[in-house]
Amino acid sequence: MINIIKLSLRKLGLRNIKRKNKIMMLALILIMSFIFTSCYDAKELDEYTYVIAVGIDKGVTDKYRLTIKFHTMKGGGGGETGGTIGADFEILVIDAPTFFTGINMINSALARELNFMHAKMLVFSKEIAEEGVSTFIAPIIRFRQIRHSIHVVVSKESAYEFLEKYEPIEGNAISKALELIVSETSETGYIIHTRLHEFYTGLKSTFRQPMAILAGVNDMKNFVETGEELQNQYSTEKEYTAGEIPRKGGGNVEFYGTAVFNGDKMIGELTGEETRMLSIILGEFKRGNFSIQDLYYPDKYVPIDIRMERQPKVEAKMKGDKVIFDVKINLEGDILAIQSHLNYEEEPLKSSLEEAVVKKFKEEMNSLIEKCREWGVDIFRFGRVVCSNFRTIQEWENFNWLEKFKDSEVNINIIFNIRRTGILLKSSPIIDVEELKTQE
Amino acid sequence: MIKEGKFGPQEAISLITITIVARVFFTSPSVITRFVGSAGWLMTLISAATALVIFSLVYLLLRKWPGKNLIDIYELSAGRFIGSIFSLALFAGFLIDGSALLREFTEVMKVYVLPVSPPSYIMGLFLIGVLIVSIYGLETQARLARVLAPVLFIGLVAVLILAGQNYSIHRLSPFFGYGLDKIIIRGIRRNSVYGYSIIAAIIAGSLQGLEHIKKVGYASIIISAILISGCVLCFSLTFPYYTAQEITSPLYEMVSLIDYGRFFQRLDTIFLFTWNIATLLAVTVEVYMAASIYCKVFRIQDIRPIIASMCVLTFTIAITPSDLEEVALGYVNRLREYLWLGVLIPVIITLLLSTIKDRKKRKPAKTKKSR
Repeated sequence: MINIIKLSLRKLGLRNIKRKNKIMMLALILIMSFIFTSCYDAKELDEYTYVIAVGIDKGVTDKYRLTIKFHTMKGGGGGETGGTIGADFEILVIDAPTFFTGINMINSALARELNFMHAKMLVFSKEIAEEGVSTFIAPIIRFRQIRHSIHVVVSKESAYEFLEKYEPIEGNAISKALELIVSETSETGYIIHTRLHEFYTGLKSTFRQPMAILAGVNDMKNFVETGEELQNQYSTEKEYTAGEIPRKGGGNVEFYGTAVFNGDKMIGELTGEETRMLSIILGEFKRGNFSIQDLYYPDKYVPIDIRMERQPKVEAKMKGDKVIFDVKINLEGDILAIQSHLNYEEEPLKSSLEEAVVKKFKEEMNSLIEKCREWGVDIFRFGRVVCSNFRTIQEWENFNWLEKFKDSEVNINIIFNIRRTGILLKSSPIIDVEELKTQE
Repeated sequence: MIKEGKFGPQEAISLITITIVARVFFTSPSVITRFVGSAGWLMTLISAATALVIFSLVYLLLRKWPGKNLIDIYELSAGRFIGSIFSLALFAGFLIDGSALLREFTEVMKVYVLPVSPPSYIMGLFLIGVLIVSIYGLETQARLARVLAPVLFIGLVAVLILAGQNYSIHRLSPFFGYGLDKIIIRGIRRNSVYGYSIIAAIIAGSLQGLEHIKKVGYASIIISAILISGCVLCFSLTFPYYTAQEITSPLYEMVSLIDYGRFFQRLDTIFLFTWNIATLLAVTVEVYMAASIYCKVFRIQDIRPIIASMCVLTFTIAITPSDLEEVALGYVNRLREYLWLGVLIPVIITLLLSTIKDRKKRKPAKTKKSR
């Protein structure tokens, strides 16, 4: 051993170091090896319980009802055992005076310490959202473990019920499923991708009001197995919010629509279709399929895959205190199907179809803007365009945009082009012998 | 005289730039947002311009005393006693600022990464690193800075580019924040952050002449200004002025928001690496500068024992503030706003005294000529 040390010192060119210094160095190395072994914060990965989603409700026995959904770590990455729901996750709910006391109290019931570093979703119940979330968001925004990239969701039911009902349908990886469902749905525009960062800045904003993803538990009661009456109602497209989609099967919960806030209080809901229009105005829409009513056969539709051609351009003109916006939206799309087999691929029907899309979108956007104007909330982020007309923050804050939004005027200009028609270039009519006879 | 070795302008620029830029990782960006709103990036450019003016005065002084460093010049022009006071003001500045930076780093580490570890433990370990790097001397520090500079630069720029997904140009509005007057006044007052360019004058003996000193001083201020302004700009693009003021470490928060799908997120660890290395170098430079000035003032030949004492002093000063608010709004903020006076006033006095001495020297020559 001594020889090895001597050799190492010789190699390092430290042979001539005095005996006293050698002892000092060795002592230092020994002390350092103990110090650097770990620090106060060192913990093994399996010493934590990883929280996937946090739910906040109004408490009954105390102020908060804190719900956490967490990995049980029983089945490794995607185990099949454990938990009340039959996968490697578990739910726990507690009434506590504050968020952090709740965490401590939960920790007394779990062997491992709760860790929120991998939390994907923060759920507020609609009840709490309508009363105001400021008290409840305060500890979360300050908590270092909760990343500001966590999604903010308002559940129509209690957060506990929502989280209890939520379970992945495909595979057992709940955190992956949560991430995917939000990203996929926001790409089609049915929800606005709202993270804690956007939600919190919205709460304090002088430019806009906040919004959150609307979610709900679907009891599948809206799905009617048979019924002639409903089949014939083709004149209007149905509008749904979360929990109302007529379906059977799949997961119990759905993310659909938007919860709109004024300050910290939720004041209304947007349907899935309204959220899509909002998403287009915001420039966050990626692509989605829209069913356009056939111009000649009202019982038939032309589904079109529509996407943003470029980011919308918003210009603001000020006439005194009134602000007039010009919103230019460029969309393009591909025809997916023509139920009537009319030749919409070619002119003049192609232009007519494009005009129909523009008309439909304009109407829906105007109705959405009108709705928000009535609520007095700018969720379109028009304020940030107006703000560039002001030189200082004082001037801007004195202007009080959030009050002025009600009196603003918004002109929507949409340009829509059909780019492709799928693998068919032309639609030919289906030959019906009976119909031909009648025509003759 | 202590031997500090010789190195080139690239090493010196890297050393000074890292020392300056390390400040941007902590509370300063959010503190300046309180004063100037969304125009912090503009304010820091004004600070840099002011620092350039002050460095020009320092350079003028160095030109009057070629081959001498700032500490020697203070003594030669103002006399041993006053010169020592001026030098000790610099010494105190480096020592307190280094301590404040260490404490700021510790507090931010405690908030974001090591909540359970006591501050003394974090600072103690950090100072062991500072002690080791300092003992190897200034030349080693400068060469280490030169080697690390590209790594730190790439790390920082990569993070700023990746954070681009959260940028919104509208967040810079209103363009003049809380007003142009406030930007200019705060900009001038807060030039101390670029004041570390004075290191070029203190280590004049290690650089190759006046031209190199000039190059090092100006280049480090300009490069630092670009980097700091860029960081503050990116921060303002991510957080609107009303929430930007609330965040403890804006850049860290900005990095934690990076999210490019399931496999490309949580990049804070990369940032943490650049953050720690840059801070280690910055604190080391400040501690070493304090020790170096002390040795020069008191004619001490061996700097190593002094470095150890400086580390203890740094620890003692750093542990003094009671909380993060006292560090961020008290120590750090006041140092940023007033530290430059400790450089400017002695430099102006010394410059005046040197000019007077020059004139006195020239006068007899002129009278001889006229006779």
